[in-house]
Amino acid sequence: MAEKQKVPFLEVKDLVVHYTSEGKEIHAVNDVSLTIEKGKTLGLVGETGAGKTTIAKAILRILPEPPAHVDQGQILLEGQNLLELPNTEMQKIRGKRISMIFQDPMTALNPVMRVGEQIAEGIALHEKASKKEAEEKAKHMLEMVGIPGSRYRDYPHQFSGGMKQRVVIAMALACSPDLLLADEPTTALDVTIQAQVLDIIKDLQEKLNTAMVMITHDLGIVAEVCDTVAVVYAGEIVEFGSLEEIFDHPTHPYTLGLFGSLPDINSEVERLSPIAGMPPDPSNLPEGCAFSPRCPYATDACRKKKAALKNIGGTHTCRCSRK
Amino acid sequence: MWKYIVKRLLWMIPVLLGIAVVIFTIMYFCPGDPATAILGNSATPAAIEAKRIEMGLDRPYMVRLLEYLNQVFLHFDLGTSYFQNQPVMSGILYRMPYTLTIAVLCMLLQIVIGTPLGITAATHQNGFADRFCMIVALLGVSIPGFWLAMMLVLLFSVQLGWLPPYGVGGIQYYILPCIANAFAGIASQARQTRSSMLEVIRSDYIVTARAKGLSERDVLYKHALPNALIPIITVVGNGMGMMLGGTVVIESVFSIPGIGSYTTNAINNRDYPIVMGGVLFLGAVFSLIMLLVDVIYAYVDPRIKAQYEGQQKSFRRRKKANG
Repeated sequence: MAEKQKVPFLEVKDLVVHYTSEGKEIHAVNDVSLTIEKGKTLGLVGETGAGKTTIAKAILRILPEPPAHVDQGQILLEGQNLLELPNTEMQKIRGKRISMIFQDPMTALNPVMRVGEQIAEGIALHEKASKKEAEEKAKHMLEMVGIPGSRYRDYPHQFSGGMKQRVVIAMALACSPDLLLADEPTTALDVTIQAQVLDIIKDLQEKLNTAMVMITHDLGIVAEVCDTVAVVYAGEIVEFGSLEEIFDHPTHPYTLGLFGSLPDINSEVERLSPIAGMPPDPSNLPEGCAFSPRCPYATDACRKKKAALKNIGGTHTCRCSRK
Repeated sequence: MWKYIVKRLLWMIPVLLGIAVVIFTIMYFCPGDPATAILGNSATPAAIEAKRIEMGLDRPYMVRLLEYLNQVFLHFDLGTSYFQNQPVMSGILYRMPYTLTIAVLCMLLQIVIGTPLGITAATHQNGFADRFCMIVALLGVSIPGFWLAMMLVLLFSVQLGWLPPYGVGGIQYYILPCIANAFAGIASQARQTRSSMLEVIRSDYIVTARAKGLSERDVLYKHALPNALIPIITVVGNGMGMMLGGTVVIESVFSIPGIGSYTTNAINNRDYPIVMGGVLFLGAVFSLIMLLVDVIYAYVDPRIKAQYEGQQKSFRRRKKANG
């Protein structure tokens, strides 16, 4: 038993993913390592294009190959490397042990299939349920996310955006997965629905003791649902720590920048202070620290050599030469 | 749905009226004289004039047009051929079975061979299977039907003696004409299926389906293909409409008494009733096929069905709301 506890529930080790586009290599994920424990939530925070979604899709092995290619790394689910599994074995894990909530509810549902059937399909597949049982369970799932079961036979175009997203959530949670990858589940929704959807996810997570990776660029959501936070920049983790460590002692200049660009109602400022510059072109990453061109503290040393992730107390690690 | 179908059927009346007026006018202004064609070049001008009066060709345009419309639309009579002393309707009905047999067989070949070729090409994009399918498709669209027909006759009838070279009779008479005629259809079907599948395969809901743990086969046939069907059905419908109008080239190579040769011979002979009757018939068949295609759309895609039914439903809802 003591042996077993040392194996983390999910461990991503040295993951490197690149895309090939028009002959150019786009370095989407560069040497990312993460661990997630059962029942806990990890927040992946970063700008659009930082590689967050690619990490999640790589875990589930649903990256389009080509153009994507996993160059190296391990994804260990209770010690078993998912990247080495044959496709048929992986199909048994997808939707059953690991499932994903997609970013855009408008396009994530099959437009010509009844929503209920889209939920029931996975149940019938993974739980060896009869058509009737799967239908019952799917109706139950719909009700769990606040949609009447009588709408089982409706098509996606008959639902609003928020309801579609709840269908997507119901679909992802239908087989009580051990790990939920939530890819900006609330970005496409308006604020009132956002809170509802987050509550649904949190509720279900507690009930099912599901581990979760919450991908977002909204620090408010991170504060609300996450236990640990990884800040991703240009395909790398630049800072990692518990929620308190990151929020109370943000250390990496990029993390500081993220917090700096939040509006603060207590201070009298005319403008927000955004991070200067643009995220780097992932097909042509700068030498040395990827953040150095935008970093107010960058030195010549930063521009030449990339800093390693260093422990700066507790579980808090940071990739910056200043610390 | 039924309301929609009835509405479309009623719409066919003005469409066919329009076709009748246009084709009558074209034939009226067409150079050449049926009386001369019947009596031959050696007839005296007086005899020709007498024949013209007998046939009613001397009367003004408006009178003849209204008479023709009255005859066709109020008495459902397409007239009698100038040369064959046979009603045009029975001429068409006599030839219909041959044309229909070829059209249906070609459609079946096109669907049964073209669709799988396109799906294979799409799922192996840029691979060997894709290249092979697309080369076959390229040959199909570029090889002229009459050349292929003659080569097939040379090989299978003249050299091998397996199949009859021309004429009509049992099913063996239809093999060569159908292969020669269907090749182009198979090719365009394969190309359309491929491009439509490629578009669908990149959609988000295909990733969702994969993330549910479905096998590649289920992803392809349960999720991708139903969404790719609309353009495929359009190609089938167009092809069917065209072929029911007769395939002149194939009919003349294989001496098949179909609709195509019936109408083209009539054009050469100035047999106006057959030309006009043939065009009207083709117009009616084409409209019916297009209606059928639109109805199939509704069953393939619930969004289109909702559009068809939308007006009625919103009307009913408004009535309900107003009490």
